[in-house]
Parts: sequence; C-alpha cells; structure tokens
Amino acid sequence: MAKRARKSSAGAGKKRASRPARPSPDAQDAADLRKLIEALIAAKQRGDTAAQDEATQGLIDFMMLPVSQALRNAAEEARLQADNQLMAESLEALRRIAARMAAAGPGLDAAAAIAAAGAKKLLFPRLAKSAETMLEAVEELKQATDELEAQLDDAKELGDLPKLLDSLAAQLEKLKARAKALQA
Amino acid sequence: MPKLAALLAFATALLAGCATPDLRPFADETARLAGAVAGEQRQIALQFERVIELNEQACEKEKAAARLPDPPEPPKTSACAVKEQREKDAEGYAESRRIIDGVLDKAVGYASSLAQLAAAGETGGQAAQSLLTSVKEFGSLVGVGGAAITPAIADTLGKISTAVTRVQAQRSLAEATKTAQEPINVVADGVREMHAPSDRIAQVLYNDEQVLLLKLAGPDVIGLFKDAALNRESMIARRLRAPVIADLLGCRGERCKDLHGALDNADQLGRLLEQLRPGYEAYETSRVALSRWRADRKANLAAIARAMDAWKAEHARVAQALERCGGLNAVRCARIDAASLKKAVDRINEIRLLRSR
Repeated sequence: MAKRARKSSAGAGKKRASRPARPSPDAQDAADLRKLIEALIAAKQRGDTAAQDEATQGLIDFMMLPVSQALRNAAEEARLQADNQLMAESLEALRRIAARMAAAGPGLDAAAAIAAAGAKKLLFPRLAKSAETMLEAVEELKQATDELEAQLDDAKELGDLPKLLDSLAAQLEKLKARAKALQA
Repeated sequence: MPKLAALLAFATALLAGCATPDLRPFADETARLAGAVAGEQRQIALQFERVIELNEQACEKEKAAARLPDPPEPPKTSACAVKEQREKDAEGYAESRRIIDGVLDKAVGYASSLAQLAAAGETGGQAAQSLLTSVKEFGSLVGVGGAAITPAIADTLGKISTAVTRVQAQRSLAEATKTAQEPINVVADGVREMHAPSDRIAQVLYNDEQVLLLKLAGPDVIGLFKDAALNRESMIARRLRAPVIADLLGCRGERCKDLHGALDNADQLGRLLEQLRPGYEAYETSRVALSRWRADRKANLAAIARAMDAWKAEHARVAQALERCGGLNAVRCARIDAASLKKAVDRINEIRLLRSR
C-alpha cells in the first residue's frame, strides 16, 4: 500500500512536471502586451513607420480588450512614450524645415521687387500716364534712332521710322511752342 | 541711350515680337497651392485643438471619478498630463506654421508681381494709343489740328510701343525669375520635406483621439459591442466584470458576484446593449470622422508634395523660356500655360479640405 502510495505520488509528480502550467488570463494578457511593445520598439529601431503605426494601433486595440486597468495603463504608457517621442522629433524636423524656408523669403521679396520695378519702368505705359512727357518720349526715341542710324551699316533696316519720328517730333515741337506762347 | 537704341533695333527688326507669356495661370496655381498647404496646416492645428479639448474632458472625468486625486504630478498617462504636453506641442507647431505660411505668402506675392508685369508687357499698343489721344487732345487745346498725327505715325508708334514694352517687360521678367529660382527651389523642397513630419504629427494626433474617444466612451462599452457583434462569448463574460458594465447591471461587489448569471440569455444582453447604444453610436460617429480625417491628411499631404515638384519645374521652365526666348533674344516665342502644374494642384482634394472638420 505504501509502495503504491509512493508510486502514485511519484507518478503524480511526474505528471505535474510534464504538463506546463496554464497561464492565467492576466499573465496571457501581459505576455500579449509585451509582444506588442517589443514590436513597437523593433519598428522604431528599424525606422519602419508603417510597422510602427501597426504596433501603435495594436496597443490602442489592446486597450479595448477585457484586460485589467493596470495593463490598459501600461499599453497607453507605451503608446504615449512612442508617440511623444515621434511628436518631438517631427516638430523638431518641421522647425528646421521652416527655418530653411524662411531663408528663402528675402530672395522672393527681391524678385518681387524686380518685377514690380520692371512694371513701373515700362517706357510707353509710363509715358501714357502723363501727356506732358509725350514730347520728351518722342525726343528720346528720336535721339535713339539717330544713334542707331549711325551704328547701322544700312539705315534702310530702320525703314521709315526715322522719318516718321522726325515728323512726329516736329509736330510736337509746334505744340510745345504753342503751349509756351499760350502760357506767356 | 544705347539701351534704348538696342530696344529700337529689336523693335524695328521684329516689330511683331514675341508676346509676353501670360503668367496669370502660374500665379493662380501658386496661390491655390499656398492655400492648400495653409489649409493642411490649419487642419493639423485644429486637430491639436480637438485633442486638447478631448483631453480636458477626459481629465475632468478622471478627476470626477476620483481615480486621480488631483495631484501636482499626475501619472504620465493621465489625460491632464497629456493635455499639457499637447498644448506645448501645439505652440511649437504654430511657430513653424507661422513661418511656413509667411514664406508661402511671399511666394504668392512674387508670382502675382510676375503676372502683373507680364500683363503690363502687353499694354504697349494701348499705351501708344493713349499717348496719341493725349497729344491730339493737347493739339486741339492749343489750336493745332489732329492732322499732325498721321495714320502712318500712329501705326508705327503703336508697333514700336508694343515691341519696346514687350522687350522691357521680358527683360525684367527674366531677371526676376532668375533671382527667384533658388528661393523657389528652397520653398518647394521645404514643403515636400514637410510631408513626412506633418504626416507623423497627424498620426500622433490621430492616435491620441482614438485613445481619448475610447477613454471617454469606456473601453468596455465599446469592447462589448465589438464582442457581441463577433459573438465572442468568453470575452463578453470577462467584460461583464468591468465596473462600468456592473454599474449598468446594478451589480457591484459581493451583491453580484457572478455577473455572467445576470446575462444568461441573449435578450438580457440585447437589453444591456440597447442601454449602451447611444454612447457607442456617438463613439462610432466620431471614430468614422476621425478615420476619414486621417485618410484625407495622408492623401492631401502626398498630393501637395507632388504638386510642389510641378510648381518648381514650372517656374524653372518660365525662367528658362524667358532667358532663352525673351527680350532681345526673342526668336521663338515660349508657350507658358502652367497646364501640368494646374493638373498637379487639381489633384489636391479641395473638396475634402472643405469637408474636413
């Protein structure tokens, strides 16, 4: 009997040793959470944003499971730690980019100023705004034409332009003289 | 004077000249693009506000539940602590946003100046006409007849004015675009590089809101609906121990030790779910809106990055065309219609921008 009892006891011991202890639901939940956190760390180390998003989503989904509040807090802490770091890194990257972009501002201003000044300098539109300067405009053009005529081998390239400008200038001289007379 | 002589040489040789390219489409697309970038930044700023507001609500809930005794140093995961952190983050974001929006405003101003100059470059004929009218009026006033201005003079002057104005405008345009090309490259590359950090910030805010919606609705309430939909009985049984569910069942502590027994049939579970449905539906509505918001940000940020490449390329094309064909080099007229840029900007989903919160 004693022998049997011993045998039985030894058998029971053997049986306990060969069958692994079944983890409690809490222990299983904790193990699952550990895996998620490990996946998140590994994704972060690899710089794999898709895997990082997946692991973070896993942590958020884990919080929805019927697990203890302590495990939910642990999941949220891991998620927040990763996300806070990501936020800090992203804000810093954005700050650096913004600083680099700001340096382009003066160049854009300078280019806009060139364009604005160019629009103001357009000869004919500028003259058209002031009839009094008409004569000066024609005189300028005539002078330029004369110079051009002297530079060109063949004055024919200018066609009738010098003649026309001469005529226009003559008419305007008359206008100027009449205006002066009237003013006197 | 040699400058004017050169202009005249051009005017005489090429009286038709090359029309100044219409840069209004480029300016319009630049403004739309800047608006899209500003709109995306605004979306993220608004999401910061939303997350801060939800954290505020969750913080109040935590305090009310007395799970958090309003300590000076709350646990890291408390909504009160997260709210403070996101407020600081929002300030950092606002500073970068302000700088980026400012630079883009300058780009819009520059493009608008270009368009105005290009348009003015085509007003030469009109200016000549206006000049001649003034002269005629002046002539009548002082008693010299309009005969002084013959049609031939008027025609020649008109042609000269057209060509000279074009040459002047195209020279200034070439100079302006050449000056701007490098800053434009910096801005375009910057906005393209913004894509990654902006997307990450959007992702964090998305994650934050998911957690907050869950916290405010109660993870077990939401979980119960999901378990019921998938008929996960063992999960439902575990879920019933949650305080929020226990409260609804009127069972707390020893009084209701075996909660499973309180829900021993589908009808009872159905009644419980009906009680919880308003909270669940509000959660689902917010969650769906949040998912759409995230998808919109992903799509728009990617489209903006692509459009920036098109913008930079279009500007380089304008600068090159003006350098090659503009002003006194006007041999072949450049065609600038910004069509590919428009296509790229069109891909930014403005409807989604408007639809987003």
